[in-house]
Order: sequence, then structure tokens, then C-alpha cells
Amino acid sequence: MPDDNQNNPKSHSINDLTDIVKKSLDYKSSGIFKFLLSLSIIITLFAVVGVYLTTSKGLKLWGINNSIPWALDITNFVFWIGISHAGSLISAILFLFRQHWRAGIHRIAEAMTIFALFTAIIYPVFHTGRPWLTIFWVLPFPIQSGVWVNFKSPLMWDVFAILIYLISSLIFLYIGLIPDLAILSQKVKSVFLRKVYNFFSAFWLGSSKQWNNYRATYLVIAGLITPLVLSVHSIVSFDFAVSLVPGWHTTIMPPYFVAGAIFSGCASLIVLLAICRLLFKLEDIISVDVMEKVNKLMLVSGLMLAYSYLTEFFFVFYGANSFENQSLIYRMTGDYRFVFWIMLLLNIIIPQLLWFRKIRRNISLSLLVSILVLIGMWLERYSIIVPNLAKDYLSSNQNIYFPTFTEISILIGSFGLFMTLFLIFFRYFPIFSIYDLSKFNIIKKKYE
Amino acid sequence: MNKILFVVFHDFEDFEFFYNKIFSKRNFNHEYYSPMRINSDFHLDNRSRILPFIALIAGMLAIALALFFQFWTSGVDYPLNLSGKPFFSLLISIPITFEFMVFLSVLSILLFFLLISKPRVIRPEIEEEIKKLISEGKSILKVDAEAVNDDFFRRYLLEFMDEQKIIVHKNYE
Repeated sequence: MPDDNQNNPKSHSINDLTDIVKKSLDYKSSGIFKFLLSLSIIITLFAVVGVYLTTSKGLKLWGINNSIPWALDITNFVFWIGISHAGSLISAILFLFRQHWRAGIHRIAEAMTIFALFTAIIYPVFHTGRPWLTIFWVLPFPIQSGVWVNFKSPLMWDVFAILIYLISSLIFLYIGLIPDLAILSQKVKSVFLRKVYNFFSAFWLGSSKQWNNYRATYLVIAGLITPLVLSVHSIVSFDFAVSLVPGWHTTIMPPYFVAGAIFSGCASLIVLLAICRLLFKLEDIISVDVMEKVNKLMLVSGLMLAYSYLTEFFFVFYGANSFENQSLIYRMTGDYRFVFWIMLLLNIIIPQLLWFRKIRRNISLSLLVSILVLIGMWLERYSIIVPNLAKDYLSSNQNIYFPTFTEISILIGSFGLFMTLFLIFFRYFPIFSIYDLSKFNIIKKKYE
Repeated sequence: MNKILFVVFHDFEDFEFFYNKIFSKRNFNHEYYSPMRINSDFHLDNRSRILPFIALIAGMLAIALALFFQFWTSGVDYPLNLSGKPFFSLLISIPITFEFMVFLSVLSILLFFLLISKPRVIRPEIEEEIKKLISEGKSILKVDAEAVNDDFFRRYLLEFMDEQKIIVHKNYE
């Protein structure tokens, strides 16, 4: 292939990589960075308006009703939680499998996990209607009324799963940052940044004892986060699977949700990698080879998702439960049929393009596929939640849902919030792991 | 007082080569400072055993605490009859118990890692110097000066000095 050599990443020494990171920290003053950050902040304002309206006027501004109390908010919540999953996949699971190519991108993936979780958390908080009382509901509950929260409820499991996933991911990100911050604390010009880096890495000398302890810590945390990736989205799927709503009450939900989460997470990672390549001029670090590998992961997880869809449809018809049957037929032919068929097109047909090497190695085309997959995955969550609630057992409970301006503005704003947090983080912190990538380059050189 | 040698390597790959050559055959009292970790099979004895053990203990403690807490809240303090279901069941306690186990293990291993890394507000001058050298991509081998009496060590040391790959400092502690 003529373009392969051109796209092969160069082997940089540790000093070269430190300089690249230093340069990437300086790109904050570039026009394109400022433009993107301003655009993200403007988009975030949509969420601010939506949240302000929700808290001041109440949930009546949302399109939810008695039959469909969960709609766009839970769709967005599950969508963002799903996106957070590929981060841990790239950083922890691929680390355990000794996939060294992750070195250049795992920091971006970890940051994606954390900011996607932050974005996801706003939905359940504002769905309570009076979020300023959330702390009161959670903390002094047993003292106030003598009743404990119901630990048998999947909603309570969700609270534990997501908060612990967020804390563990933050710790994992921090551990990975320590050696880089120690190097950069001696290199950056800004006094403020030096102080911040020193604060977080003051103890780090890179001694043999510290490296051995570091390795053990990183390995154990990676080992603990790996089952967490599977458990968090399984628990999110229990919110639906343990209910009696037709279309939700199925055992395929946990693996189906996990596969979908990794699929959408990989798509989101491709989008972020393409942005970072352009923004921080990291063509050598986020090489076409690396992008291709993430595309392959996306293809595999897409196939797992397609298999889950087929299993779900098969068991609904094979099970001969009339309510389940009706529910699926309604999804396929009812008021929300366009959502269902577009979802199948975007999640099953479009990813098959990734079988072609040329598409996997073409940044613009893989970016396009990823954006379509992200739309498809959002529609999947919508298609699971809204149509199934719209067609209940009782005809008096059957209703139609349309999202309102407030809900749509929060949805649009959430993308802005995510990008704003992401850009601000990489304005101040190294975009890739200097020591990991240096080590990877040394290993690569040995085998060349 | 022991005589200590500080060997500063300009390049990590040279350091890794030197280190693996010497310490696969000799066992001098030493410590290294480097921007990257050295992978070597003979170095396995230096693996940290305490940190995984702490994570294990914290995880087991978390399992016991989470199970007891769920049993006490739903079975003893406020038993709530939900459609005749049992007040407490092990199976239904698994999600929260697992999550809490991960949480306490991760948190404890982080805290102990920070603790045994000896965080200090003010560092000795030599450590500041080491940190500066590391940030420049250099690696430092701190070894008992007696090692120079060993032919094998001396041969490699002189070879590396001739090729200007290292700088040797003597220090008295």
C-alpha cells in the first residue's frame, strides 16, 4: 500500500515526546483551539438554558407523561454511560492484554470516560425535579424517617456502580499521569502549571522501588476496573431488565448493553482521536495504524451488538409471549418505526463498511462511520425506552411521547459540556503518556 | 560510611542494556532512577507484594462490611415486606457488594502507594537533582562503589565511559 509508510508513526525518544506534549500544551493559544472551545461553551449554554427552565418551572416542561415517565433523559443517560465504557476498555483491558499500541491514546480514552460520566450524571440529578434536595434524600434519609434506601433496587445499584466507576476511573487516570507530571513539572514555563504538576507528583523520583510499586498499583487497578466495565453497564441494563415492561424484561439485556456500550464508546473515541490529531498535530502519535485498530474494535463490538439484536428478536418470536410480540411489532411498525429501522441501518449495516481496509485507514470516512454509529446508538436507546413504555399492558396507559425544546436543549448542551470539559483538561494535562509511549517505541525498535 | 557510585546514563536504552547485563549476573546493592521501568525476569524478586496484598485485604473487608450493612439495614433495622420476598438475600446483595469491594480495594491501594512513596514537602537537594535529570530523559544507577572491584562490572563501566554514554559521580554517604 503506497500510503502505509507515509502513515507509519516515527519512533520518538522520551525527550522528543516531552517536547511534543509541551507543544500540545501550547496549542491552547492556537486559533482552532480557541474556536472549538468557544463553540463548545456556546453549545453548553443550551444545556444551561434547559436546566434553568427545568429547575425554575418544573418537569412539566419535559414531554414525559404518566405512561412514559422515562424518555429523553434516561436515553441520554444510558448513551453517555455507554460512551464512557470504551475508555476503560482501551486503558485497562488492553493493558492487561499487553496491547502496547494503546500507549498513544489511552489518556484520551480515560479522559473520555470521566467526562462522559460527568455528563451522564446530570440527567438523573435533574430528573428528580428538585436536584438541590438530592443530598438530603440520599444522606440523612434513615435519620429523618427511619427508612433505609432500598438496596434491592437496581436504581440504587446504579448509584453505587456509576459513582464507584467514576472514582475508580479518576484514580486510574491519576496513577497514569504521575510519571508524566513529574517530568513536566521540571519542563513547563508556567509557574501555575509547575505548582499543579508538583502537587500531584511531588513524591515521584522514578526510583526502582517506586516503579515496582507503581507497576503493582497500575496492574491491580486495571484488574479491578476490568470487571467493573462489565458490571456497570450490566447494572444499568438491570434498570430495564428486572421490570415487567414488555420489551425490557429479557435476560439478553446485560451482554446486549455491554456490547452496545463498547461499540458506541469506540465510535466516540474515533471522533475524539480525529479531533486531537487535527487540533494538537499528533499525526505521528495517533497514527493511522492506531485508528485502524480502534476501527477493528468497533467492528467486532458492532458484530456482537448485531448478534444481540438477532437473539432478542428471535427469542421474542420463539417465546410466543403475546405482550412481547406486540411490543416488538409495535417497535417495527408503530409510531416509532422510523427510529427502529434507522437504528438497524446505522448500527448493523453501516459498520460493515469497516471490513474494507481502505475505509478503516481513511480518517474522514472512519470519522463519518463513527458519527453515524453514535447517532444509531442514541436511537437504539430511544427505541428501547420510549416505544416499549408507549405500548403498555393497559390501553389506558398507551401514550405517545414527543421531546420538547427543554429536553432537546439539554441533549444538545450535553455534547457541548462534554467537549468543553475534554478540551479544558487537555489544555492543562499531557495528552498522551510520555513514558508508556517511549517504552512502546523502544520495544518496537527491538522487533524491527 | 559506604562509598556510593552514581552512574548517569544519557540514554535509557543504554541503561537498560547495561543494567540487564550486570544484574543478571551480579547482585550488588543498588537502586536506579529512570523515566521508565526496566523489564527484566531476574528483577522479579523486587516486585511489590505488599500492595496487591493490601488490595486483597481491603477487598475482603469491603465484602464483609457491605454484606453486613445490607443485612442489617434490610433484615434487622427496618425489615420491609416487599410482596413476601425475603428480607435479605445473598444473591441480590452481589451488585452493591462487588462495587464496594472494588471501591475500597482501589482506594486503599492508591493510599498505600502514596504512603510508601514517601511524600515530603521538602526534599533533599540530591533528590531534586535526580528529578531534574530524569525529566531530561537520563537514567541514574546508584550502586555500592565496591562494585568497581568486580572485573565484569568494571569492564562494562569503562566501555560505556569510553563511548561517552555515561558520567560517573562518586559520593560518600
